[in-house]
Amino acid sequence: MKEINFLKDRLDALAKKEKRLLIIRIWSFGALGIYGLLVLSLFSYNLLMKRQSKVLGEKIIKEKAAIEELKSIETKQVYLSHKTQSLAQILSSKRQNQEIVETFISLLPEGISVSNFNIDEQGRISFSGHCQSFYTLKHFLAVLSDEVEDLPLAIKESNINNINYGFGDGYSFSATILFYLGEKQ
Amino acid sequence: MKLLEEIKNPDKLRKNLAPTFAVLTVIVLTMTVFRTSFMSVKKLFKMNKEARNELSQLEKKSQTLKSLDETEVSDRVLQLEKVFPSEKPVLNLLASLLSLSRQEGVRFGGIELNPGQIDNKGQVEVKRVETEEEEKGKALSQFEIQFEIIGKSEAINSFIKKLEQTGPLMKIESLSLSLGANLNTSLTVTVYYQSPPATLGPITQPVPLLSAQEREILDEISLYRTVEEITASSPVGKQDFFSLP
Repeated sequence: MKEINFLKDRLDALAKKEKRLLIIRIWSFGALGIYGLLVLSLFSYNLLMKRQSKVLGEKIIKEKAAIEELKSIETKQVYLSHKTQSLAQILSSKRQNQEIVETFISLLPEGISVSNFNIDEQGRISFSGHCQSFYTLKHFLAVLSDEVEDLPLAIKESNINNINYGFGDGYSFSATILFYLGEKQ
Repeated sequence: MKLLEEIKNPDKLRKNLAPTFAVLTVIVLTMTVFRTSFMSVKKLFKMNKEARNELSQLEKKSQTLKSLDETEVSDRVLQLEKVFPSEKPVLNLLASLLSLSRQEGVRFGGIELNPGQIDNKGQVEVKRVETEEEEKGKALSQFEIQFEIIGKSEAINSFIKKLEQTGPLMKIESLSLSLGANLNTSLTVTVYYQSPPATLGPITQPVPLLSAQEREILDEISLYRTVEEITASSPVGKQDFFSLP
């Protein structure tokens, strides 16, 4: 006798559904498990970072204390650096002035008095001079126009701005001299 | 049919229970533990990175400070203080000029100096500031002195040469010369001094090391002629205001 089962198709479908349900369940719990692991890892990493932060904080405090103990030498070093920077500026302008003064004194012949001597930053000096003898003045002008050897600085340009002669009072003049400073002579 | 419907409903419920539970758990955990931990990790990561940088700077600074020879640094400070003092060097300047004039055989015609305000600050502790902007460095200070010297041309020349290599630090600003048998020279000289820095920078700021050029400068000034520092030690305070000494 042939058996007719009208539920077979439906039972097959139900079995398939049951299988799908099992897969969904497994995947859901699997995903949940992975997510749980992720949360746990993150939580552990957070704890690790907190620990690291604490250790770093302690090390920083220790290093700061060590530096504070060496404060006196740091103060001295800051003092040296601070003052040496200012010193460098003064010395560079001082050397220049000193060379100019030395050169100028070497240029002057006897019998000339100088007043109102000034030096500017470009190495230009301006001064007023006075002498009794015409020959002294002539000698000085010759020194300015000729190349004088063994001078600390060479003359780049010289100008006699004016010469006055007062009877019995000698010769008065004002002049400017520009020296080579560092550039090629 | 009715039975089938009954079968269907619990099945639907069973089918959706696990994913629903999983999604709900994920949402709850995300909103509570995950989000909080993530934000905390992000913040701590940034903080630790900064702390590691700070620690590295501090370790470097500590090593640099330990590597410095305190005796050498102290000697340099003393030497620098003699040539480029922190306080207005009025008495030492006079002593230096008189000593130099005696050595070079020139005669003083007169000295005029206007020292102005006398600083009275005593020993001040250098404080540390937290930011670089707060760091204060005292500006360069100076005052002028005029004097006249009389002597032979070579002696005056030598005096002028040595004057600028004598402490306290001086720079010739102007001079007037009268040439004759004896050279009469009027000089205007600027004398420099500078107060030490009142503050140290932030603790993480590196120690300023001297460059080769700065070392050369310090070596150069160590050759400067200096006189022993004059210290006044007489007692102060008078019992009878009108009594003569």
